[in-house]
Amino acid sequence: MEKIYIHQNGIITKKGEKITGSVLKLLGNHIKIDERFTLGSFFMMVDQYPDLKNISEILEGLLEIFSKKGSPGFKTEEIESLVFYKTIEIKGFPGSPSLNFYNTLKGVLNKKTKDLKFFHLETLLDHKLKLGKLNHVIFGNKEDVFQYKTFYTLFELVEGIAWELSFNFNPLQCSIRR
Amino acid sequence: MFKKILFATTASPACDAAAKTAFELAEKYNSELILYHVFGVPSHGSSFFVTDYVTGEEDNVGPDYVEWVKDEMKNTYETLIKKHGEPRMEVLAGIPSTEILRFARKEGIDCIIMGSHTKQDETESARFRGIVGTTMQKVAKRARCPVLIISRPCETCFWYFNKIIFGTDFSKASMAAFKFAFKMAESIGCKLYLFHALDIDTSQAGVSPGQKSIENQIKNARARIEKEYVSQMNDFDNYEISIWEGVPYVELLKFARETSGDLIVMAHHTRDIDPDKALLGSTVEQVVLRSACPVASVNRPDKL
Repeated sequence: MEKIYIHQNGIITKKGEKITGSVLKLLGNHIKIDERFTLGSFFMMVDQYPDLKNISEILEGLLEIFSKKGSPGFKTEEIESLVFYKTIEIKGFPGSPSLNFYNTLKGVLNKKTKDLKFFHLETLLDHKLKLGKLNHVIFGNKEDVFQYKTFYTLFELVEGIAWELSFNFNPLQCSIRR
Repeated sequence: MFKKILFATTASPACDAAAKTAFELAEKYNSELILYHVFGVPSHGSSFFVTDYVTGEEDNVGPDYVEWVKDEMKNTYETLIKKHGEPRMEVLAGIPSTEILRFARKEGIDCIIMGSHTKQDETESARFRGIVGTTMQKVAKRARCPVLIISRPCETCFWYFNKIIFGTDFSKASMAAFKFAFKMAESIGCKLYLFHALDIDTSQAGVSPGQKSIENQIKNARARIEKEYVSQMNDFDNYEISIWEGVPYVELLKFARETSGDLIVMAHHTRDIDPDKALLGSTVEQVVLRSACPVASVNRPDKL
Protein backbone atom coordinates (compact mmCIF):
# COMPACT_ATOMS: atom_id res chain seq x y z
CA MET A 1 0.00 0.00 0.00
CA GLU A 2 1.37 3.39 -0.97
CA LYS A 3 2.00 5.76 1.88
CA ILE A 4 0.67 9.27 2.03
CA TYR A 5 2.41 11.98 3.98
CA ILE A 6 0.62 14.46 6.22
CA HIS A 7 2.47 17.71 6.78
CA GLN A 8 2.52 20.00 9.79
CA ASN A 9 0.12 22.39 8.05
CA GLY A 10 -2.35 19.57 7.38
CA ILE A 11 -1.57 19.20 3.68
CA ILE A 12 -1.51 15.64 2.34
CA THR A 13 1.03 14.64 -0.28
CA LYS A 14 1.49 11.44 -2.22
CA LYS A 15 4.80 10.80 -3.98
CA GLY A 16 5.63 14.44 -3.28
CA GLU A 17 2.49 15.72 -5.03
CA LYS A 18 0.03 17.82 -3.08
CA ILE A 19 -3.42 16.27 -2.93
CA THR A 20 -6.27 18.58 -3.86
CA GLY A 21 -9.97 17.78 -4.04
CA SER A 22 -11.49 14.58 -2.70
CA VAL A 23 -9.49 12.34 -0.38
CA LEU A 24 -12.02 9.49 -0.28
CA LYS A 25 -9.80 7.21 -2.32
CA LEU A 26 -6.97 7.81 0.13
CA LEU A 27 -8.85 6.76 3.26
CA GLY A 28 -7.36 3.27 3.16
CA ASN A 29 -3.81 4.45 2.50
CA HIS A 30 -1.13 4.04 5.11
CA ILE A 31 -0.02 7.32 6.59
CA LYS A 32 3.20 8.93 7.72
CA ILE A 33 3.01 12.14 9.69
CA ASP A 34 5.46 15.00 9.97
CA GLU A 35 7.65 15.07 13.08
CA ARG A 36 6.20 18.46 14.00
CA PHE A 37 2.61 17.28 13.45
CA THR A 38 0.29 18.48 16.24
CA LEU A 39 -3.36 17.99 17.08
CA GLY A 40 -3.87 21.43 15.54
CA SER A 41 -2.31 20.06 12.31
CA PHE A 42 -4.96 17.35 12.38
CA PHE A 43 -7.72 19.96 12.38
CA MET A 44 -5.97 21.93 9.63
CA MET A 45 -6.07 18.74 7.57
CA VAL A 46 -9.77 18.16 8.25
CA ASP A 47 -10.49 21.79 7.40
CA GLN A 48 -8.65 21.56 4.09
CA TYR A 49 -10.23 18.29 2.99
CA PRO A 50 -13.99 18.63 3.66
CA ASP A 51 -14.63 14.94 2.83
CA LEU A 52 -13.03 14.08 6.16
CA LYS A 53 -15.66 16.03 8.11
CA ASN A 54 -18.25 13.47 7.06
CA ILE A 55 -16.44 10.66 8.86
CA SER A 56 -17.81 11.76 12.22
CA GLU A 57 -20.73 14.02 13.13
CA ILE A 58 -18.68 15.46 15.94
CA LEU A 59 -15.89 16.85 13.72
CA GLU A 60 -17.77 19.99 12.67
CA GLY A 61 -18.26 20.98 16.33
CA LEU A 62 -14.62 20.30 17.15
CA LEU A 63 -13.51 22.37 14.15
CA GLU A 64 -15.53 25.29 15.51
CA ILE A 65 -13.61 25.08 18.79
CA PHE A 66 -10.34 24.82 16.85
CA SER A 67 -11.15 27.86 14.71
CA LYS A 68 -11.89 30.01 17.79
CA LYS A 69 -8.56 29.18 19.39
CA GLY A 70 -6.05 32.01 19.53
CA SER A 71 -2.53 31.60 18.23
CA PRO A 72 -0.48 30.47 20.11
CA GLY A 73 -3.06 29.00 22.48
CA PHE A 74 -2.69 27.80 26.05
CA LYS A 75 -0.90 24.46 26.14
CA THR A 76 -1.45 22.19 29.12
CA GLU A 77 1.70 21.08 30.93
CA GLU A 78 0.01 18.05 32.41
CA ILE A 79 1.09 16.12 29.34
CA GLU A 80 4.21 16.30 27.18
CA SER A 81 2.75 15.05 23.92
CA LEU A 82 -0.03 12.99 22.37
CA VAL A 83 0.08 9.44 21.07
CA PHE A 84 -2.35 7.68 18.75
CA TYR A 85 -2.15 3.91 18.96
CA LYS A 86 -3.94 0.71 18.07
CA THR A 87 -4.97 -1.95 20.56
CA ILE A 88 -5.99 -5.57 20.20
CA GLU A 89 -7.66 -6.73 23.39
CA ILE A 90 -8.71 -10.25 24.29
CA LYS A 91 -11.18 -10.47 27.16
CA GLY A 92 -12.29 -13.60 28.97
CA PHE A 93 -14.37 -12.26 31.88
CA PRO A 94 -16.71 -10.56 32.73
CA GLY A 95 -19.19 -11.17 29.91
CA SER A 96 -18.69 -13.37 26.87
CA PRO A 97 -15.15 -13.89 25.62
CA SER A 98 -14.31 -11.22 23.07
CA LEU A 99 -11.56 -9.85 20.87
CA ASN A 100 -11.64 -6.14 20.06
CA PHE A 101 -9.62 -3.80 17.88
CA TYR A 102 -9.63 -0.09 18.55
CA ASN A 103 -7.64 3.10 18.16
CA THR A 104 -6.94 5.44 21.04
CA LEU A 105 -5.61 8.95 21.53
CA LYS A 106 -3.88 9.58 24.84
CA GLY A 107 -1.61 12.12 26.43
CA VAL A 108 1.93 11.15 27.39
CA LEU A 109 3.73 12.21 30.57
CA ASN A 110 6.96 10.61 31.76
CA LYS A 111 6.46 7.77 29.25
CA LYS A 112 3.06 6.93 30.76
CA THR A 113 -0.23 7.48 28.96
CA LYS A 114 -2.95 9.74 30.35
CA ASP A 115 -6.65 9.88 29.61
CA LEU A 116 -7.69 13.03 27.77
CA LYS A 117 -11.38 13.34 28.51
CA PHE A 118 -10.93 15.86 31.32
CA PHE A 119 -8.76 18.20 29.25
CA HIS A 120 -10.16 21.05 27.26
CA LEU A 121 -9.56 20.62 23.58
CA GLU A 122 -8.03 24.11 23.33
CA THR A 123 -5.20 23.08 25.64
CA LEU A 124 -4.23 20.05 23.56
CA LEU A 125 -4.04 21.58 20.10
CA ASP A 126 -0.38 22.63 20.21
CA HIS A 127 0.87 19.30 21.50
CA LYS A 128 2.86 17.08 19.16
CA LEU A 129 1.08 13.97 17.98
CA LYS A 130 2.88 10.71 17.27
CA LEU A 131 1.72 7.37 15.91
CA GLY A 132 2.42 4.69 18.49
CA LYS A 133 2.92 0.95 18.44
CA LEU A 134 0.18 -1.65 18.50
CA ASN A 135 -0.68 -2.88 21.99
CA HIS A 136 -1.77 -6.48 22.37
CA VAL A 137 -3.66 -6.96 25.65
CA ILE A 138 -4.04 -10.56 26.75
CA PHE A 139 -7.25 -11.61 28.48
CA GLY A 140 -8.11 -8.14 29.67
CA ASN A 141 -5.06 -8.04 31.87
CA LYS A 142 -3.32 -4.74 31.31
CA GLU A 143 -0.18 -6.18 32.89
CA ASP A 144 0.24 -8.51 29.93
CA VAL A 145 0.65 -6.06 27.09
CA PHE A 146 2.88 -6.77 24.12
CA GLN A 147 3.87 -4.03 21.71
CA TYR A 148 4.32 -4.39 17.96
CA LYS A 149 5.21 -2.14 15.07
CA THR A 150 2.15 -1.41 12.95
CA PHE A 151 0.61 0.91 10.34
CA TYR A 152 -2.31 3.34 10.38
CA THR A 153 -4.65 4.40 7.61
CA LEU A 154 -6.04 7.88 7.07
CA PHE A 155 -9.51 6.64 8.04
CA GLU A 156 -8.26 5.17 11.33
CA LEU A 157 -6.57 8.43 12.24
CA VAL A 158 -9.59 10.64 11.55
CA GLU A 159 -12.25 8.36 13.01
CA GLY A 160 -10.16 7.41 16.04
CA ILE A 161 -9.28 10.98 16.98
CA ALA A 162 -12.88 12.17 16.43
CA TRP A 163 -14.17 9.41 18.72
CA GLU A 164 -11.75 10.21 21.51
CA LEU A 165 -12.26 13.97 21.30
CA SER A 166 -16.02 13.58 21.31
CA PHE A 167 -15.64 13.18 25.09
CA ASN A 168 -14.00 16.59 25.51
CA PHE A 169 -17.06 18.75 26.03
CA ASN A 170 -16.03 20.17 29.38
CA PRO A 171 -17.08 23.76 30.02
CA LEU A 172 -14.25 26.27 30.02
CA GLN A 173 -14.81 27.42 33.55
CA CYS A 174 -16.39 26.12 36.67
CA SER A 175 -19.31 28.41 37.25
CA ILE A 176 -19.95 28.85 40.94
CA ARG A 177 -22.58 31.52 41.29
CA ARG A 178 -25.23 32.87 43.58
CA MET B 1 -37.65 18.67 46.53
CA PHE B 2 -36.60 15.05 47.13
CA LYS B 3 -37.72 13.26 50.27
CA LYS B 4 -35.88 10.05 49.48
CA ILE B 5 -32.82 9.71 47.29
CA LEU B 6 -31.56 6.31 46.24
CA PHE B 7 -27.89 6.12 45.33
CA ALA B 8 -27.36 2.88 43.44
CA THR B 9 -23.68 2.06 43.62
CA THR B 10 -21.16 -0.63 42.88
CA ALA B 11 -18.94 0.97 45.53
CA SER B 12 -16.18 1.09 42.93
CA PRO B 13 -14.27 4.17 41.69
CA ALA B 14 -16.66 4.30 38.71
CA CYS B 15 -19.34 5.59 41.12
CA ASP B 16 -17.19 8.14 42.99
CA ALA B 17 -18.47 11.16 41.06
CA ALA B 18 -22.07 10.02 41.54
CA ALA B 19 -21.44 9.42 45.27
CA LYS B 20 -20.28 12.98 45.83
CA THR B 21 -23.37 14.36 44.12
CA ALA B 22 -25.69 11.98 46.01
CA PHE B 23 -24.33 12.96 49.42
CA GLU B 24 -24.35 16.68 48.59
CA LEU B 25 -27.81 16.62 47.11
CA ALA B 26 -29.24 14.73 50.08
CA GLU B 27 -27.75 17.22 52.50
CA LYS B 28 -28.88 20.19 50.46
CA TYR B 29 -32.49 19.03 50.23
CA ASN B 30 -32.55 17.45 53.67
CA SER B 31 -33.45 14.15 52.01
CA GLU B 32 -33.11 10.64 53.31
CA LEU B 33 -30.19 9.06 51.45
CA ILE B 34 -30.15 5.33 50.86
CA LEU B 35 -27.02 3.65 49.57
CA TYR B 36 -28.07 0.62 47.61
CA HIS B 37 -25.67 -2.06 46.51
CA VAL B 38 -26.35 -5.31 44.68
CA PHE B 39 -23.29 -7.49 45.10
CA GLY B 40 -23.83 -10.61 43.03
CA VAL B 41 -26.10 -12.94 41.11
CA PRO B 42 -27.71 -15.61 43.29
CA SER B 43 -27.35 -19.13 41.97
CA HIS B 44 -30.58 -21.05 41.37
CA GLY B 45 -32.72 -22.59 44.07
CA SER B 46 -32.23 -21.78 47.72
CA SER B 47 -28.46 -21.85 47.48
CA PHE B 48 -26.39 -19.55 49.67
CA PHE B 49 -23.90 -18.95 46.87
CA VAL B 50 -23.72 -15.84 44.73
CA THR B 51 -21.46 -15.05 41.80
CA ASP B 52 -19.59 -11.81 42.41
CA TYR B 53 -20.09 -9.31 39.58
CA VAL B 54 -16.50 -8.20 39.47
CA THR B 55 -14.44 -11.29 40.13
CA GLY B 56 -16.80 -13.96 38.78
CA GLU B 57 -16.05 -16.02 41.88
CA GLU B 58 -18.68 -17.78 43.97
CA ASP B 59 -19.18 -16.51 47.51
CA ASN B 60 -21.09 -18.10 50.35
CA VAL B 61 -23.65 -15.55 51.51
CA GLY B 62 -24.82 -15.34 55.09
CA PRO B 63 -25.51 -12.54 57.58
CA ASP B 64 -21.77 -12.15 58.14
CA TYR B 65 -21.12 -11.65 54.46
CA VAL B 66 -23.81 -8.94 54.21
CA GLU B 67 -22.36 -7.14 57.26
CA TRP B 68 -18.92 -7.40 55.71
CA VAL B 69 -20.17 -5.80 52.47
CA LYS B 70 -21.80 -2.99 54.49
CA ASP B 71 -18.53 -2.39 56.34
CA GLU B 72 -16.69 -2.28 53.03
CA MET B 73 -19.13 0.31 51.76
CA LYS B 74 -18.68 2.39 54.90
CA ASN B 75 -14.93 2.30 54.34
CA THR B 76 -15.34 3.26 50.69
CA TYR B 77 -17.46 6.31 51.53
CA GLU B 78 -15.74 7.17 54.82
CA THR B 79 -14.79 10.71 53.79
CA LEU B 80 -18.26 11.55 52.51
CA ILE B 81 -19.92 10.00 55.58
CA LYS B 82 -17.72 12.12 57.86
CA LYS B 83 -18.69 15.25 55.95
CA HIS B 84 -22.39 14.65 55.32
CA GLY B 85 -23.50 12.02 57.87
CA GLU B 86 -24.19 8.32 57.63
CA PRO B 87 -26.86 7.21 55.18
CA ARG B 88 -29.05 4.12 55.36
CA MET B 89 -27.37 1.17 53.66
CA GLU B 90 -29.07 -1.66 51.85
CA VAL B 91 -27.15 -4.54 50.29
CA LEU B 92 -28.43 -7.72 48.72
CA ALA B 93 -27.88 -10.27 45.98
CA GLY B 94 -29.87 -10.15 42.77
CA ILE B 95 -30.04 -8.68 39.29
CA PRO B 96 -29.05 -5.02 39.84
CA SER B 97 -31.58 -3.29 37.58
CA THR B 98 -34.50 -5.41 38.84
CA GLU B 99 -33.60 -4.91 42.48
CA ILE B 100 -33.02 -1.17 42.12
CA LEU B 101 -36.39 -0.69 40.42
CA ARG B 102 -38.17 -2.94 42.91
CA PHE B 103 -36.66 -1.11 45.87
CA ALA B 104 -37.38 2.34 44.39
CA ARG B 105 -41.03 1.42 43.86
CA LYS B 106 -41.43 -0.13 47.30
CA GLU B 107 -39.82 2.79 49.12
CA GLY B 108 -41.38 5.56 47.03
CA ILE B 109 -38.01 6.94 46.00
CA ASP B 110 -38.08 10.47 44.51
CA CYS B 111 -34.76 10.39 42.69
CA ILE B 112 -32.30 7.65 41.74
CA ILE B 113 -28.66 8.63 41.38
CA MET B 114 -26.18 6.39 39.60
CA GLY B 115 -23.05 6.38 37.46
CA SER B 116 -23.20 5.60 33.76
CA HIS B 117 -21.12 2.46 34.13
CA THR B 118 -20.72 -0.18 36.77
CA LYS B 119 -17.01 -0.46 36.14
CA GLN B 120 -14.25 2.00 35.42
CA ASP B 121 -14.25 1.23 31.74
CA GLU B 122 -12.15 3.00 29.23
CA THR B 123 -14.07 4.75 26.51
CA GLU B 124 -12.46 2.75 23.74
CA SER B 125 -13.80 -0.54 25.03
CA ALA B 126 -17.18 1.05 25.73
CA ARG B 127 -17.60 1.72 22.03
CA PHE B 128 -17.61 -1.99 21.34
CA ARG B 129 -19.74 -3.05 24.27
CA GLY B 130 -22.61 -0.63 23.85
CA ILE B 131 -22.28 2.89 24.90
CA VAL B 132 -23.64 2.95 28.44
CA GLY B 133 -24.05 0.34 31.13
CA THR B 134 -27.04 -1.94 30.76
CA THR B 135 -28.04 -1.49 34.41
CA MET B 136 -28.26 2.24 33.89
CA GLN B 137 -30.22 1.75 30.66
CA LYS B 138 -32.77 -0.54 32.28
CA VAL B 139 -33.20 1.59 35.37
CA ALA B 140 -33.49 4.85 33.42
CA LYS B 141 -36.00 3.31 31.03
CA ARG B 142 -38.37 1.91 33.63
CA ALA B 143 -38.00 4.07 36.72
CA ARG B 144 -41.04 6.06 37.80
CA CYS B 145 -38.89 8.81 39.25
CA PRO B 146 -36.14 10.96 37.68
CA VAL B 147 -32.80 9.21 37.29
CA LEU B 148 -29.75 11.38 37.70
CA ILE B 149 -26.78 9.95 35.84
CA ILE B 150 -23.32 11.19 36.74
CA SER B 151 -20.55 9.98 34.51
CA ARG B 152 -17.81 12.43 35.48
CA PRO B 153 -16.68 14.36 38.51
CA CYS B 154 -19.02 17.29 38.72
CA GLU B 155 -16.97 20.31 37.70
CA THR B 156 -19.79 22.74 38.18
CA CYS B 157 -20.66 21.90 41.72
CA PHE B 158 -24.20 20.60 42.11
CA TRP B 159 -24.49 22.45 45.38
CA TYR B 160 -24.41 25.81 43.63
CA PHE B 161 -25.78 24.84 40.29
CA ASN B 162 -27.87 27.44 38.57
CA LYS B 163 -28.13 26.70 34.87
CA ILE B 164 -30.50 23.93 33.92
CA ILE B 165 -30.78 22.87 30.30
CA PHE B 166 -33.96 21.14 29.26
CA GLY B 167 -33.57 19.35 25.91
CA THR B 168 -36.85 18.56 24.20
CA ASP B 169 -38.01 16.56 21.22
CA PHE B 170 -41.66 17.49 21.95
CA SER B 171 -42.54 13.92 22.90
CA LYS B 172 -44.92 13.02 25.73
CA ALA B 173 -42.00 11.99 27.90
CA SER B 174 -40.38 15.36 27.22
CA MET B 175 -43.30 16.98 29.02
CA ALA B 176 -42.42 14.95 32.12
CA ALA B 177 -38.80 16.05 31.75
CA PHE B 178 -39.92 19.66 31.41
CA LYS B 179 -41.99 19.47 34.58
CA PHE B 180 -38.95 18.18 36.47
CA ALA B 181 -36.61 20.79 34.97
CA PHE B 182 -39.03 23.63 35.68
CA LYS B 183 -39.69 22.46 39.22
CA MET B 184 -35.95 22.36 39.91
CA ALA B 185 -35.31 25.75 38.29
CA GLU B 186 -38.20 27.33 40.16
CA SER B 187 -37.26 25.92 43.55
CA ILE B 188 -33.59 26.83 43.18
CA GLY B 189 -34.29 30.15 41.49
CA CYS B 190 -31.92 29.44 38.63
CA LYS B 191 -31.97 29.94 34.90
CA LEU B 192 -33.78 27.46 32.68
CA TYR B 193 -32.72 26.96 29.09
CA LEU B 194 -35.36 25.42 26.84
CA PHE B 195 -33.40 23.78 24.06
CA HIS B 196 -34.42 22.02 20.89
CA ALA B 197 -32.18 20.69 18.14
CA LEU B 198 -33.62 20.53 14.65
CA ASP B 199 -32.47 17.22 13.28
CA ILE B 200 -31.93 18.38 9.73
CA ASP B 201 -30.85 14.94 8.51
CA THR B 202 -34.17 13.33 9.29
CA SER B 203 -36.51 16.29 8.98
CA GLN B 204 -37.01 15.76 5.24
CA ALA B 205 -36.22 12.28 3.96
CA GLY B 206 -33.45 12.36 1.41
CA VAL B 207 -33.80 16.08 0.66
CA SER B 208 -31.60 18.77 2.16
CA PRO B 209 -33.87 21.56 3.33
CA GLY B 210 -33.21 25.07 2.09
CA GLN B 211 -32.41 28.01 4.36
CA LYS B 212 -35.99 29.27 4.26
CA SER B 213 -37.38 25.89 5.23
CA ILE B 214 -34.92 25.67 8.16
CA GLU B 215 -35.86 29.17 9.31
CA ASN B 216 -39.52 28.18 9.22
CA GLN B 217 -38.86 25.06 11.24
CA ILE B 218 -36.95 27.09 13.82
CA LYS B 219 -39.84 29.55 13.99
CA ASN B 220 -42.33 26.70 14.44
CA ALA B 221 -40.22 25.03 17.12
CA ARG B 222 -39.96 28.29 19.03
CA ALA B 223 -43.72 28.79 18.85
CA ARG B 224 -44.24 25.24 20.05
CA ILE B 225 -41.89 25.71 23.01
CA GLU B 226 -43.77 28.86 23.97
CA LYS B 227 -47.15 27.17 23.62
CA GLU B 228 -46.31 23.88 25.34
CA TYR B 229 -43.79 24.88 28.00
CA VAL B 230 -43.57 28.64 28.56
CA SER B 231 -47.34 28.83 28.98
CA GLN B 232 -46.99 26.60 32.05
CA MET B 233 -44.35 28.72 33.74
CA ASN B 234 -46.64 31.50 35.01
CA ASP B 235 -44.50 34.35 36.40
CA PHE B 236 -41.18 32.56 35.99
CA ASP B 237 -39.15 34.66 33.56
CA ASN B 238 -35.58 33.46 34.14
CA TYR B 239 -35.56 31.36 30.99
CA GLU B 240 -34.18 31.39 27.48
CA ILE B 241 -35.28 29.52 24.36
CA SER B 242 -32.59 28.19 22.02
CA ILE B 243 -33.06 26.24 18.84
CA TRP B 244 -30.03 24.93 17.04
CA GLU B 245 -29.83 22.88 13.90
CA GLY B 246 -27.79 19.71 13.56
CA VAL B 247 -27.40 16.30 15.13
CA PRO B 248 -29.33 16.51 18.45
CA TYR B 249 -26.72 15.03 20.78
CA VAL B 250 -23.86 17.04 19.27
CA GLU B 251 -25.83 20.28 19.44
CA LEU B 252 -26.97 19.63 23.01
CA LEU B 253 -23.40 18.96 24.13
CA LYS B 254 -22.15 22.07 22.35
CA PHE B 255 -24.92 24.12 23.92
CA ALA B 256 -24.17 22.76 27.40
CA ARG B 257 -20.51 23.58 26.92
CA GLU B 258 -21.17 27.08 25.68
CA THR B 259 -23.62 27.97 28.43
CA SER B 260 -21.64 26.13 31.15
CA GLY B 261 -24.80 24.21 32.00
CA ASP B 262 -24.93 22.47 35.38
CA LEU B 263 -27.65 19.94 34.64
CA ILE B 264 -29.15 18.56 31.46
CA VAL B 265 -32.70 17.28 31.76
CA MET B 266 -34.17 15.20 28.98
CA ALA B 267 -36.61 12.42 28.23
CA HIS B 268 -35.40 8.99 27.28
CA HIS B 269 -36.58 8.55 23.78
CA THR B 270 -37.27 10.45 20.65
CA ARG B 271 -40.69 9.13 19.69
CA ASP B 272 -44.16 9.42 21.15
CA ILE B 273 -44.52 5.85 22.27
CA ASP B 274 -45.62 4.07 25.38
CA PRO B 275 -42.86 4.65 27.97
CA ASP B 276 -42.92 0.94 28.79
CA LYS B 277 -42.00 0.13 25.21
CA ALA B 278 -39.66 3.04 24.72
CA LEU B 279 -36.00 2.25 24.34
CA LEU B 280 -33.44 4.57 25.77
CA GLY B 281 -32.98 7.03 22.94
CA SER B 282 -29.57 7.18 21.37
CA THR B 283 -29.44 10.90 22.09
CA VAL B 284 -29.58 10.28 25.85
CA GLU B 285 -26.90 7.60 25.64
CA GLN B 286 -24.55 9.82 23.69
CA VAL B 287 -25.15 12.80 25.97
CA VAL B 288 -24.78 10.81 29.20
CA LEU B 289 -21.40 9.49 28.22
CA ARG B 290 -19.98 12.78 27.01
CA SER B 291 -21.59 15.42 29.17
CA ALA B 292 -19.41 17.17 31.74
CA CYS B 293 -22.46 17.91 33.88
CA PRO B 294 -25.02 15.49 35.35
CA VAL B 295 -27.85 14.31 33.11
CA ALA B 296 -31.34 13.71 34.48
CA SER B 297 -33.45 11.25 32.53
CA VAL B 298 -37.15 11.59 33.16
CA ASN B 299 -39.56 9.25 31.46
CA ARG B 300 -42.70 9.52 33.58
CA PRO B 301 -44.48 12.25 35.47
CA ASP B 302 -45.47 9.90 38.37
CA LYS B 303 -43.01 11.19 40.96
CA LEU B 304 -42.87 14.85 39.97
